[in-house]
Amino acid sequence: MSRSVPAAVVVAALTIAAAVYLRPVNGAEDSGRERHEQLLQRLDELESRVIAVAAIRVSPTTTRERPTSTEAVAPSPVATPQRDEVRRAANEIVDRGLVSARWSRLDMIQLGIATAGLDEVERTEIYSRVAMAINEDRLRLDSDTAGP
Amino acid sequence: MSRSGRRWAGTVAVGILATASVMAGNRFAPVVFIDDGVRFASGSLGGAHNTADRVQLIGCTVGPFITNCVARNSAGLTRSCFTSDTVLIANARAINGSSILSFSWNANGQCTGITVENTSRVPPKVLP
Repeated sequence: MSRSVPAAVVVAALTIAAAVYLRPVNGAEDSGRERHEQLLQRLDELESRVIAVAAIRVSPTTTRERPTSTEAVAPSPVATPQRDEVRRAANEIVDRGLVSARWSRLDMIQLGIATAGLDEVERTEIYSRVAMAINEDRLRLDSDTAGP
Repeated sequence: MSRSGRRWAGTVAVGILATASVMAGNRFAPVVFIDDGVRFASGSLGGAHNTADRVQLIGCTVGPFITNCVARNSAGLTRSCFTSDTVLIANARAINGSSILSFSWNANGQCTGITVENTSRVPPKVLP
């Protein structure tokens, strides 16, 4: 992926892709079990794409194109504006959930996509906001789309 | 009914009961239980699914980096945890429709334990 493409655009595109992949399956004859299997298969496909995109997005070759002699050797490319934007977009998903006090399965999937390019510490910080809000009864699982 | 006929009928009845017993086996389908005091939730997927209340649920979403577990009891109390611990994620991957899932969490919502019990005792989910 090009460095010139903002992370927010990537996240938005993946969000749309998620919505497309998660759309209801046609065919009234399909049983609930078959639809469930199809949904899981689509999620697997989506997950694979997310991993691939995330790997490109945080690749040192794309985020650290011009190392300088004074640049510290960092274990991971965490301090880039692009990365900050990814983190901000992920937190916005949580913020929207907290404002509405509702959390759906799609929200969780979107958050998974949005945080795919972050490191463990960053993901922990963001997911902690969600789990704590649920456990403090500030965030209610959407009854129709409640995970897991 | 003659004496021999009654004996035969009794034998058949005992046989049916014995067969039913063999077919049923030892069954245990715990519904969702949450203890906020010790931050612990447990329940069987089949037990939660097969209840008539349409409220209970328990399970985990296993992702490549994060696994998220959720439990909701019959009163609607919902508790959740997440983890990036590879051992706990591996445990969560063992969940199936006949599992008993237990998980615990800390104040930050991080899973401190995920236990999966797969046993013949738990009946599977029955559609719908």
